[in-house]
Amino acid sequence: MVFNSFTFLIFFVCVLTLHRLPLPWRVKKTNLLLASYLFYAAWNPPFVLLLWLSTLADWHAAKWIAAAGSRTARRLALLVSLLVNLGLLGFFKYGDFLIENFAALAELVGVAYQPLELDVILPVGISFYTFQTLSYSLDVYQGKAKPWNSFLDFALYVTFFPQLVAGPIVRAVEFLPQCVASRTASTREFGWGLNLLLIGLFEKIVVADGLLAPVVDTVYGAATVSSSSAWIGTFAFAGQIFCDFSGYSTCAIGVAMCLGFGLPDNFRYPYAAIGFSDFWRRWHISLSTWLRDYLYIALGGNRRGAIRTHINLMLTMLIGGLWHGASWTFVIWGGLHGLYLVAERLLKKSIVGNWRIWRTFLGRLVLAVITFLLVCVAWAFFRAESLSQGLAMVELMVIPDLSPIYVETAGLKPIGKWEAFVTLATLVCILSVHWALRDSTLEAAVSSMPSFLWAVIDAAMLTAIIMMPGEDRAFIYFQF
Amino acid sequence: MPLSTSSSNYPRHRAPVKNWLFLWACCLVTASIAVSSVEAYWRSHGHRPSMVDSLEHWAFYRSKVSDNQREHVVLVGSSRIQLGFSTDTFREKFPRHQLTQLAIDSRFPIAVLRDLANDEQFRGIAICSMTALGFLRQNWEDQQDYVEFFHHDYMFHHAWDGIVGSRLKAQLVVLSPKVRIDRVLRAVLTQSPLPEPSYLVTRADRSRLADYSMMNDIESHRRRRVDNHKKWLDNHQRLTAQDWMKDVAKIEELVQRIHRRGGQVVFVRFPTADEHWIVDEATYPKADYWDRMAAYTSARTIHFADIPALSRFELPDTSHLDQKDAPEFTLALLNQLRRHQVVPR
Repeated sequence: MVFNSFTFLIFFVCVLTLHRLPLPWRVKKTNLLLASYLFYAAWNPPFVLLLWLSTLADWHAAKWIAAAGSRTARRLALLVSLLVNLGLLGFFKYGDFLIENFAALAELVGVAYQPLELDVILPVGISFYTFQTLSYSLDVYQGKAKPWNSFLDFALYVTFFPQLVAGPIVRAVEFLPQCVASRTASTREFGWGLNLLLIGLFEKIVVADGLLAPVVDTVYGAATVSSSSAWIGTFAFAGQIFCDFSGYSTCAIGVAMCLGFGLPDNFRYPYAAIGFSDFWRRWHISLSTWLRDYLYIALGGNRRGAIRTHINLMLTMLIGGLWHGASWTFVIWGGLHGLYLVAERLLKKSIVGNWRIWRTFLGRLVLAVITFLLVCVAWAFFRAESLSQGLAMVELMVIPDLSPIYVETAGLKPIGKWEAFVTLATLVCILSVHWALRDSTLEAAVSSMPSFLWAVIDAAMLTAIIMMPGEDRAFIYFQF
Repeated sequence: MPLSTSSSNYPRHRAPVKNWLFLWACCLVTASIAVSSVEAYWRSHGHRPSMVDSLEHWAFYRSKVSDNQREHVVLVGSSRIQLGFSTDTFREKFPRHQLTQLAIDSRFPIAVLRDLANDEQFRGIAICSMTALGFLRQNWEDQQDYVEFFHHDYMFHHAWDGIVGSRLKAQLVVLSPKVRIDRVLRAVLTQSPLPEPSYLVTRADRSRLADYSMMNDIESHRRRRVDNHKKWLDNHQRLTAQDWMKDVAKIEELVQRIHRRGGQVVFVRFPTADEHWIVDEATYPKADYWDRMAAYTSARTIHFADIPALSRFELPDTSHLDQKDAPEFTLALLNQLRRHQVVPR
């Protein structure tokens, strides 16, 4: 069940109605939990078992960790959580990838090995909820939290439907306290929650799916493209992936708010980032902070000298890349971001980093543009169907061939001047909004606007959503 | 648990202070005015609401068929039965019968017939629009992806989407991809012509209407259709009647499976005309193919060429009935079905 469907509309109205009834808080939480299971079961009912497994494993692991008398016992309990969650991920997400690469390696050293084809179906959202539950056990292990005393609350934390399948990855310390006392959204929260849902749907349906996805599919589905087309296609993908993923997060935050719950921000205008450490403070914040807290810092962070810091950064970003999918293209995407971060650290410490120009408006703008272009280069790998396509795209982007935009592809509508115009115009709009709000929030911007003007903007978004019918596309991050 | 929640990070606590009731009321009124105006504009320019058929939509109707009801009539085939069989006329004449349109445009229908044969819960009447080409083994899998989707991917939420989505899309022109806002903007900004109304309409029940009077150049459309038909035949090896009957024999197994459960199968050859019919007869002559099949199969068979009441219609594109003729054609076909005791008199 996706937010951009009639089914979700019906489902949400039913859930909201139940939630607003004068029922005891415990009953309301049970309703939300059951609704969340129903929401997840809509994809594939048997996979609810995996959710239960992950929930039970971490519920008990945290209790064992807290009750353990020795460090070894604590480690063993944590190991249970790690084995269950990473085991689920390993089997369902990386099983085929590992076997394929093992076979390729065996062939390389002259051993003929024909692996079994697992053909495992990837459970939607598995990367999100395993990381979420893991964070609970890790927090308890690190002494940042104590085991929660209500299994119902914990199960709801793992399963809460607005963010279950594509984040934000919520920490237990952020969510569980919200389960203590009865919560119902005030008119202000409800109004803004619905507004966030509308904004998220506009990003997804109109911008990502309606305007940009056809351009991306044409360019990345083509046998050969020109340099300009490669750039246009990749720019389109940069806009598509942002609006798709941020659209989902915005919907999730809005839906949760309508139910009286707060979810953390997942994006803060990332395409206005100045540098890559800034980018990762703004892009998929719930994942980047997860990786920072539980991986980068656990590896030693920046406490063990410059070289080790760079190694830790690379490792974190490579694993972050692999988290997105079982493919070398994602590993390269993560690796590129690791390299960007290392290079940025080195540059900041060099004489270049101290130039006064970087503190001027123009200097900051130049840095933001460079950051965005390099992010786009990495996106080419993220979107590519294969490693060779990713390399070919980047080569085309870096070494221009000066041929026209027009692309001829079998069975696909070619992109032309109009598609290029739409892509660039949309991108300029996205970048302008990001730049204008980079040090602010959407809430602040809306607060400063007359109500009637904002109502007209809302109406325009709603009208565009209605008038942009097309094929339904799943959210990109569902596959991760 | 030493938990602290940084409220500054939570949009819940940052929700702007506005008169949200007023704001949402303004938003809904403005959006309604905008959508209604655009809807009125397109309707005044001849556009009609139309569904976009999809796997989900087909699967929604497929799920209704497994109901053990002998009075359930299922239409199987492709565009000819979608355009030529008036579901309104049928429902008017047989209000107690369930009717489900499972035809899929531009594809041969054996995969769906096979699926019905394999479905123990289907005991109804399958009316299959068939041609000699439809019996060819090489065409059996044409509609299989729809069947696969229904059995492997179709879930309850698709049914909800089917109900709400199809009803809405069948009512509003603005929900048609043809008049999508970006396409219209493109036409306006590049000074190209605005989208023309389509002569075809797909309704919520998956039946279709064709108003050929809306076509500007029917002649070239006819020519293109016949040329494509010839090209298709040229690219495919023609089977002798003897070999063709081997494929028919396999399909007969499906027919008998449905019959054994008390269901019925009717093969109907919908009309083609002029050069299209000449080409059909030149490649798979009725006497050598259809008539042999009719003598062999336990299914009821109805060929338009045998029934004057079915063959008297003008086919504007040589292959499909116009919406003005579909009700009358359906009445004539229903008379034949009554004669064969497929439906009650």
